[in-house]
Amino acid sequence: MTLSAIRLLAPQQSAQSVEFFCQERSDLLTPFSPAALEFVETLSRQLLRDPAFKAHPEMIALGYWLRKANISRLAEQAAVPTAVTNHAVRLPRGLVFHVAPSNVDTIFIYSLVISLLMGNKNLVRLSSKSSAQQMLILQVLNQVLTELPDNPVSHSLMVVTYPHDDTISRQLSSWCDARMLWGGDNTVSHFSSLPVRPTAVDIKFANKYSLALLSVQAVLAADDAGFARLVRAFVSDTYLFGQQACSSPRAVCWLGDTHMVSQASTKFWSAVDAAVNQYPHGLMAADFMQKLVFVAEHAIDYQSVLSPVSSDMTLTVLNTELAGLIETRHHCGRGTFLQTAVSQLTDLNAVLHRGVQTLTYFGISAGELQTWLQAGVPGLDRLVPVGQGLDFDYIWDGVDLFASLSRFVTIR
Amino acid sequence: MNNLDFFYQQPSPYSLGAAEKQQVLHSHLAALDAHHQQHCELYRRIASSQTAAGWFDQQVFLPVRLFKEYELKSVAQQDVFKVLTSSGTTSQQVSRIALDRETAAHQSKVLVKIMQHYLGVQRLPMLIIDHPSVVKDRLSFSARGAGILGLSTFGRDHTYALDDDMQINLERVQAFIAKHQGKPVFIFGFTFMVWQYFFQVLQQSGQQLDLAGSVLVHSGGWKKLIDIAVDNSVFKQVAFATCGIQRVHNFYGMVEQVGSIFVECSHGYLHAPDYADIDIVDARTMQKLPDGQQGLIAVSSVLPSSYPGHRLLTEDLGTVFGEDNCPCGLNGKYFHVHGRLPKAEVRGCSDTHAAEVKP
Repeated sequence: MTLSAIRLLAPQQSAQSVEFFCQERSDLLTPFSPAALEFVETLSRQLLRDPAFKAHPEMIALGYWLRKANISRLAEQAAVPTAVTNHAVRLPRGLVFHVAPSNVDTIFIYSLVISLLMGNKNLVRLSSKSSAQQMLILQVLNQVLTELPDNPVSHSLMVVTYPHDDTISRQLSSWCDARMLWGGDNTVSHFSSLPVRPTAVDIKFANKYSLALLSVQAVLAADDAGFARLVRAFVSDTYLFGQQACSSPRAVCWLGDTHMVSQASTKFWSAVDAAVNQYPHGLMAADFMQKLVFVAEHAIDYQSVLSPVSSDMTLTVLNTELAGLIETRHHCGRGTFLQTAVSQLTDLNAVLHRGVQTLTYFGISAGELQTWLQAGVPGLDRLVPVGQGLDFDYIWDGVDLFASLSRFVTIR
Repeated sequence: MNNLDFFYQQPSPYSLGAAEKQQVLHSHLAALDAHHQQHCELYRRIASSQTAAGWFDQQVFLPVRLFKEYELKSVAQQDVFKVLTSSGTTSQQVSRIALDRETAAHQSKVLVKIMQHYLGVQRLPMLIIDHPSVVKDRLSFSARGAGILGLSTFGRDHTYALDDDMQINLERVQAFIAKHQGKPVFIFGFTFMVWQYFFQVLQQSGQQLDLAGSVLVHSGGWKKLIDIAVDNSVFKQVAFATCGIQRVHNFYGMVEQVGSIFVECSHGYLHAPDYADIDIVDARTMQKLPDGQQGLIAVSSVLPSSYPGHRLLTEDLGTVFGEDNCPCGLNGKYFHVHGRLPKAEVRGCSDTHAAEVKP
């Protein structure tokens, strides 16, 4: 197959060929250029204005994240200390080739935006399987491109799709200066096997597993309003993408007095049970069937036992030993939680590994968590309060995206 | 040890009334629960988990998919006499069902009891709506081939209606009809094959075959036919219009419960025989549903003692209409199957689209 099999999705028409686009470097911008800021602001406005996105909370969240105030805050956080800027200049890497996850999620837009803020040119490959969300994203991107015909960013972005084809992927990979791989382990490994030029970098985001850590005492002591907030926040972290986002907690670990765990757990899950039955989770018979199979698989592998806390299959809680808490092979999401308890944070070290990404926490002080991390933990990329599990951060899976998508030129 | 004499002594496979069946069948199934708990550690673990949630009136139903992932058996390896396999519809994985001599014998015996109810005790001349190669290569035996071989024991003078290119061999079929003129004939095939390569071809070419007085038995699911808007009544109309066939019996069965199949009665309902039962389950609550409501089909059978397949939750949708009061006069619950459960949507960033990557 040749490059002619590539279909351009955004912009809808371009005077540049893909080949020319990928090889030309004279049109790179500089980090946080006014043109890029205008582009991002316009994108944010479109997302928040269009009523079509009201039904997609993840799109609204994206719209808010892209707002001017948040981008300025990010720019401050990512700012290079004066000690460095005295003898170094930050520049874009060049062409960034983004391989978006096949089941379109908004997540690749976040890394795309960081990339264009750094002044890179961007080529995005979307899955050839079209989805409603994909159409919406393309629609809004094309609106922005039409609205800003003279903005240089509009000419340094191409969104394409093509059938699974190594010849094309190999060619595009050979042209880029950075390759951003989103997807399952297989997709990421497969693309990794296609070479990039020796000066280029690969940034990989493969499968990850996340969990929640709740303080037994804090849950029991929470006032009504605080407890209700916790439950709402937990439900939205876990049920928004059917618990299938990498950052959606799939397990709940209780921390504290082991004699009080069952009381705290009963209080928590009965409230979650009531909340999920009000939540537009979209789970159907086939989802419940998947869960039934997982319940059996986990019982076989870890002798876990269903907890009777839930009124139906919308919520499934399995009591397990610590060893069964992180189950990355079969876990089906869809409102399924592996539950266990530990009496101290360091007990978790035994099961954490590099495949564990987010820990959402409640009732545990930042200081306590810092002390734990500083002594060294074998996994985890981010710890955030319950409710912020699905928020995007410019440091993702341990990678500072601003740093990875730019380069320093030193001058002494 | 799995003594089914009580069932075998009944005058027909549809003898037991609801009250008696409830008692006999359910005490037998409860004994199998205990047997498998004791002899299959994996089953015991699943049972402990399910029982804690109080699903299905405290009975334990295994999702059929588990037989594709685990070797679930309740006999020692040296007692495994035969392993049944089926092709999976959703993946390359196959179910593996371990049979000992006893379970295998019960399966054959019950199948005979049920089929003889419809075909009589005499072996009838048998017309198979398939091509002969489907059973030739015994190394790569398809589920279709296994089904044909299994049913072949109920017929004689086995004649294949199709050639290897799936065309009807009219000469052969006509010769078969002429040879057995005026005598009842047993016709067997898979639902979709019978429709696509036999009835539809005859209908389109305007040809008529004289198979009046014969019994057509078919199985294999309606999914492909529902997609082209062919239901049971259309199927039967065309069977009559093209071949004069008036007795058509679809049956519902699965490799995980061979033997105690559910055969369609003269009024178009599938019937639970004495050896088996059917329940409809709400997937959300994991509780049994009352008659008349659609849900997941759960099947029970008194046959499996070498593997814990006596109570299974399928991924098929169905509705039970009643028990012991079908207008056909047979006892047992009667029901319809509506097809497979629609697949779940996949979201998030997990690796479910691995197939997207070329090897």
